[in-house]
Amino acid sequence: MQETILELKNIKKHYPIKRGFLKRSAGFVRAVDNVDLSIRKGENLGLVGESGCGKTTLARVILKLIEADSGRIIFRSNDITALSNRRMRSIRKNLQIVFQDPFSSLDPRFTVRNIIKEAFIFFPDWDKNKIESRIEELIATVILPKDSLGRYPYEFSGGERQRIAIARSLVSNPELLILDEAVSSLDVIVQAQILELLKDLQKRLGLTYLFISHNLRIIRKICSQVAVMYLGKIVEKASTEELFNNPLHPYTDLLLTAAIKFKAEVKKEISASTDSFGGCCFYPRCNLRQHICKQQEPPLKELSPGHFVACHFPINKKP
Amino acid sequence: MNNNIGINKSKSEFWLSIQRLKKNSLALICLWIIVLLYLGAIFADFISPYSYDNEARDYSYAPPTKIHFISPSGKLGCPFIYGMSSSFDEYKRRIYSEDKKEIYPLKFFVRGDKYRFLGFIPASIHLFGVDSKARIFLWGADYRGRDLFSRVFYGSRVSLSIGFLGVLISFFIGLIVGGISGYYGGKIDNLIMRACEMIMMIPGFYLMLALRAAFPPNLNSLQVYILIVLIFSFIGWAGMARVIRGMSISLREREYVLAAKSLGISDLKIILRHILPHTMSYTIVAASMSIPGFILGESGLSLIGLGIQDPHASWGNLLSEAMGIMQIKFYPWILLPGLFIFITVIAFNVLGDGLRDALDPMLKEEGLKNE
Repeated sequence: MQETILELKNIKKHYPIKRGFLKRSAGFVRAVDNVDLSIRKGENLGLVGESGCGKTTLARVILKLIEADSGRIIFRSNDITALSNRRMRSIRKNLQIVFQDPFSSLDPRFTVRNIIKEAFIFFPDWDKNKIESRIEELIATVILPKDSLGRYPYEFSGGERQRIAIARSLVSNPELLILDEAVSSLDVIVQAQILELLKDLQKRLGLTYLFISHNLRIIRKICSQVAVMYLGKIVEKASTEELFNNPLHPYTDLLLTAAIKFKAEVKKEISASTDSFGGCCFYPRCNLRQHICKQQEPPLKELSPGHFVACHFPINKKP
Repeated sequence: MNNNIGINKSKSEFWLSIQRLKKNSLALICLWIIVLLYLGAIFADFISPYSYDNEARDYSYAPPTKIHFISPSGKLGCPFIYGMSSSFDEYKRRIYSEDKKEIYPLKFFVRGDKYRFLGFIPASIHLFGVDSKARIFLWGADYRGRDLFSRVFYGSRVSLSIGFLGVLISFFIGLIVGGISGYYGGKIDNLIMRACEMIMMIPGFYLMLALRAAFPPNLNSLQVYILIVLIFSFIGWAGMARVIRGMSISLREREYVLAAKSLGISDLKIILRHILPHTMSYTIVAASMSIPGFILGESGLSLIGLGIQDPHASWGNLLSEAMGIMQIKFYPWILLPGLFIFITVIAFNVLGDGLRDALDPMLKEEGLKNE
């Protein structure tokens, strides 16, 4: 068993909904609710879920771009939950992120060289030549021509921009790279190229990815572990093969069918878990719901080795 | 394709905007007018034939001197002026007439009043002038017989620089405060914005009067000048801070700001590198639009005697002589500083408009433009 790089314990992030003149809290949006996750070195974790289920919030909580309300983040056996910004810097060196929208994640006023150069904050004692040669090395790593360094982001296509963003995140040779929907906004061919690049980089640099996506096909290609998130909660967690062959949670099943059949029987759309009724978060949309689902929230149980699910009545498709 | 890009150097968006501005001829004309006015202010002591306080009481309200090219004998020659003689009419006003016997040729690069060129090189060469005893008043004289042409240029030093300095200081404060306020949000934001509103709720000109009145009236002109700049900055930063705050609230959500945060870059650096530069297109337009306000403000203060004091000149206190209808009726040239204020204000506004058009794509991209 490989060592655990990142461990999340009971992470919660609730946003208050303020109403009325006095801005009293009228409930919460449970963006991330009691999430436990762990990522082992070399084992890419895919985080799937529909839009608005809290995937991005979770990613930002891990990077401490957003403070978690409660819970603990443990990175390489250091508790980083309460670290100050200054102390975080040494952690960030090993914990980087690539954002979803390559058109917004690169500052349009900066040349590519300066965009990448910004990440050399981790190496304050490097001299100019060393930085320059490292930048050139990185731009070659992500397969871009050397003359792109002097250009501005608007001169690049989406795929090229995403490569630049990846190059920036690789400056410090991070151990864990969070890819927050990093290929979602790209067309299929570019997606495939970037995925190839990511696989290749993993082989060469020994990275581990936390791959956030709503696209199961991509997750299947690149991840060995998958966690399914629904309205801020992890509802199922298993190895990729196990999850795809034997989905236990009705929501996972729904996601898989939707991906294949292009059509899913969905009861009702629900935006976010603003009201808590104590039951299963998937209750309003579930096809298999029963009375107990409304009253009792199912805990995340390990049904078979390494396969966790939070459901009172897990599907069993195995004959 | 790649070769092509190799040849054409990559252009920043700002450079592209400058190219667009070059196509707007009206804005360009205004830009040149402004450049000329500022050059006039810098070289005021060289261009003007007399010093701002060089007075000749015998020439009180002398009319603009006519420059002649045809000598009494009917020959076309070098420009010259006639001497001036004066008599009194029934209201004891001076009536000036040309004395055709005295001829003073117009001379260029003559020695005259001493001054310090650019503030430190002692010099006494003036662009043009006439031999002493005669005096040349291109645009007439004021009641103490001082050359209005010279005083308009000396006055432009005060009027034009106050607008510039005021905008510089107030925008500097506004950008930093607004950037911090929007970036951090929450309590800090609330506190700063309420402070801004305290300043903004009092009408500008009255606040200016009140602040000026709070200081002793017997300050010298330099002290008054600094005081006015400070007062303007104090009044002006609030509006700027509010707009910048709104922008930085939207800019802080950009992913490149998050990317910088995830690199562990300090907040102040993020504000300076990733937030404020993106408000620049707005700031440039707003600056050129608000300089006229500062110029008018100074003129207003000086006009009612709270600004720059005689003998020092500013466009405002030059105009204060034109407050009586009789002066305007008999000596209309003393309204000239008003024309300069008018031209400057128009030029800055048209230039601001042109800049807005030129920077339009940038404004749109930043999502900061409201149609």
